Amino acid sequence: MQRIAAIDADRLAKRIVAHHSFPGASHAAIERVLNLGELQHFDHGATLCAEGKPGNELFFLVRGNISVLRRDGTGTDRVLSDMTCPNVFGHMSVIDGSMRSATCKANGPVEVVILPRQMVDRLIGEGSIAGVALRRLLVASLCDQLSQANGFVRKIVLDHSTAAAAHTPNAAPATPAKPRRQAEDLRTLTAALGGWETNLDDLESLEQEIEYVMDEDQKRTLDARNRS
Amino acid sequence: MTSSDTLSSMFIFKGVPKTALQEVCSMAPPVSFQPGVTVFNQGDESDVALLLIDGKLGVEVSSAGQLREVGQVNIGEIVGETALFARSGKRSATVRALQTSQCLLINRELLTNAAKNEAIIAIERHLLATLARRIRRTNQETAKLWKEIGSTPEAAAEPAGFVAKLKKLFGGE
Repeated sequence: MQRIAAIDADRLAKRIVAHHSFPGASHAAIERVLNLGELQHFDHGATLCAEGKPGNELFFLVRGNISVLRRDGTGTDRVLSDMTCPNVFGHMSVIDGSMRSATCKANGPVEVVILPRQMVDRLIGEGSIAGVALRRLLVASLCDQLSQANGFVRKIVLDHSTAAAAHTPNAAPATPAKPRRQAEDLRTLTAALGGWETNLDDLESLEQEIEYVMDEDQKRTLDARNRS
Repeated sequence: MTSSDTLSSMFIFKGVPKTALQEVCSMAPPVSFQPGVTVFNQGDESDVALLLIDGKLGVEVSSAGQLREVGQVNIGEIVGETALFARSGKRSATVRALQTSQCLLINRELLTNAAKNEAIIAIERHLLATLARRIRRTNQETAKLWKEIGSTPEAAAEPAGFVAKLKKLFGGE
């Protein structure tokens, strides 16, 4: 089994700690985690993990670039994002035992350190230096991921709303000032988006966009009634 | 009933030794909030997360000069973890006690000094599971949104259809 080179482990651990400022973060602790995994190389286009398949490994991106793709409603793979070093990925399935939610493909030659599920399970239940570091790194990474996921939902709605407005004759301004919706509606929206902690800013914009489209719908209904 | 007794009755601390809970309570004694008291304010800088061990909290957001309730926090739930683990340390909402409430305040000092404590490990594992669940749910909503909107400009230009889809997606009529 090939291990990560000491110089690479040192460099990557320092970059991870600089990127995630979780409590007690130390590059020496992250280095220990990296030294427990296996270094693997992938060529351009190789699939590291596939959407809908079981996830039995967690990856640390050591070198290269990864494309993250997800299938849309038409069955087409859409690129969600590109990952560069430092990054940890594939941990969601390892944490909750669910299937992979996205496909990760090498965009050029890639090097990763792979930790198998059994090792991750053991480490995140431990009080060892490596266990604490891995557990907190994963919490920090999930916090970032949730913010990104919420931002992505927002982008889809905004993009779609813009497209709808472009096809609507005599389109109204995109962000009309309207009275706020009821707390109950907002709570439903919040639940749909997966919790309130990191998406409240997104919710406000979403809410405005939905109100705008609803206004357009109401106008059309009234026009139709007047015509008849 | 002592604070550690209260903690030991919570699901997330199942199997955690009483001594570990007592140690956490001695390092960070739970704090009480009377009904109506503000626990933290939207926009505040902070690096403290709260584990609600008794009572109920309300979550409010201020926009356009109005304060609106957007959710509630129940026993066993953690709030404000992003301030502790992510870069942005600003509160995205105001949290207020709806009932007499007791919270364990989790800050960097506690996590640093009690890193190996089994109660702290249990809290962090609980956070991992909670965050993973929230991300899954958000991803599912993203997939639904894609599916319902479709990929053609004509589909995007159907306001009535879009309204119906959003209502369906977000639990409207």
